[in-house]
Parts: sequence; C-alpha cells; structure tokens
Amino acid sequence: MLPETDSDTEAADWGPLSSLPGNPMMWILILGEMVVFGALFVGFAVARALNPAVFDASQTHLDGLLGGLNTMVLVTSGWLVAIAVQRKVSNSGHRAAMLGAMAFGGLFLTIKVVEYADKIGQGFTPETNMFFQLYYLMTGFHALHVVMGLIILGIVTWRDSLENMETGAAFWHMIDLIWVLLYPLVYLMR
Amino acid sequence: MSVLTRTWAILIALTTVSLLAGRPGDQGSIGLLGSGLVLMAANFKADQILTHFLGLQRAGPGWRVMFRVMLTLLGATIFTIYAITPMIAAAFR
Repeated sequence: MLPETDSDTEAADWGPLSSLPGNPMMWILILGEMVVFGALFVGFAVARALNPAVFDASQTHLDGLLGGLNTMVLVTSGWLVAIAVQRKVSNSGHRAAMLGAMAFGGLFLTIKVVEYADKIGQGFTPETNMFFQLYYLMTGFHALHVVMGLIILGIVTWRDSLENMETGAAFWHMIDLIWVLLYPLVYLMR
Repeated sequence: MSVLTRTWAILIALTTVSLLAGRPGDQGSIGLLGSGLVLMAANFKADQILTHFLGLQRAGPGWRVMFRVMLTLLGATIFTIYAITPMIAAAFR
C-alpha cells in the first residue's frame, strides 16, 4: 500500500465546504438541487403570469389543506432527523427518532399518492393544461427526492457514523426546505 | 424547550399562518398582501430549517449569508412576477 502523500491530504481539503455538517459532496448536490428547484419556481411564476386565469382556476382544484398537512408531516420528519443527529452527538439512543422520521416521510408519500389519485380521478392529468403539467412535474420531482431521501435515511440508520448521519440529515432537510417553498407557490398563491 | 423543538413549533405555527392567509378552498385571489405574507412565512421557515435543522449556525456566517441572499432573491423575484402579472398578461393577450 502506498503511504499517504501531501497531495492526498490536499485532495481531502474541501475549503469552505469543510465547515458544513456532513460530507461536502452532499452540499454540492444540495446547492445544485436548490438552483434547479429555484429555476422551476421562477418558471412556474412566469408561466402563471402568462396565463393567470387558467392557473388560478386550476389551483382551486388542489387541496390546500392536504398540502398544509403534508407540510406539517415533513417538518415533523425533519425535526425528528435533527433530534436523531443531536442524540448521536451526545451518544444517546437515536434509532427511534430516525425510524420515526422515516415513518413520517412515508406518511408524506402516502398523502401524496392519495392526492394524485384524487386529481387523476377527477380527470386532471399532466395533459390537462400548463398548470397541471407543472404541478405534476414539480411535486413529482420532489416526491422522487423524498423516495431517495428515505433510502438514504435507511442507509445512514444502518451505517450510523456521525458523518453519515449528518450527510443523510442534510439531504433530508434540503427536501424539507424545497417543500416549504413549493407548497405556498403551487397551492396557495393566487 | 430545546432549540430544535422550538424551531419545529415555529414551523408548524408559520404553516398555520400560511393556511389562514392562503385561504385554501376559496375561489378569490388572496391579493398581493396575502401572497407577500405567504412568501415571507415560507422564506422564514426555510431560514429556520437552514439555521437550526441543517446546523448552518455552526458553519460560519458566510454560508448563512449566502443561503439567505439566495432565498431572499428567489422570494423577491417570485413576488415581483406576481406583482406585475396583470401587466405581463395584458402584454401577451
């Protein structure tokens, strides 16, 4: 085996990213995802500005209360993940909080499936109009991140080093953060 | 009450404020004031998640400032587009 060289040590130095909790690669992903979702949000606002009547009429078919409930569910899941990391730092039991967070993540997806089934049952599909196209694109892309996040949380609950847990938690909180911005834009503002 | 639990309570309270201001189920517009309130609540929630859940308060002020600037710019851009929507819609009619 080759001895560790200075260049290896330098390669492990992530500069300003080193001060962030978890693996710096995850933060590069988080910053990228925030830019992508930010562009989607601005795109949604521009599309609405071009056809406000269609967007406002379509939005009345969404269940804003269910979306609000889902916000509370995801926020609670994020809180449990933060608690789990805090407990890991203080060397107390953290698995129950992680499993609780995953259960709330699963509840979020269940509510999303119920919502999609209701909309499709009413005949609102991505082909209906631009509003529903963007609604399915944005919420579907976000739900895909929730699925990936649940897989990551499962892995870091199993391989539960502090760095792994902070990395998984960072991804989960990013999903939480994106939703709290997406929800008012798609469900409430008109 | 721990910082994390207080943050969670703030996030739940702000979601309730958004629900009241957004009036889901109503047909009419919530107006610019309502949209501004809902956006500000969302922005504050995002900041709370970044600071306390993601732990940016431990990462140095530079990161917090950068994320806050990103969130503020995004919120201001969306609010501006909503504010000038009647003009844009009229121009493209």
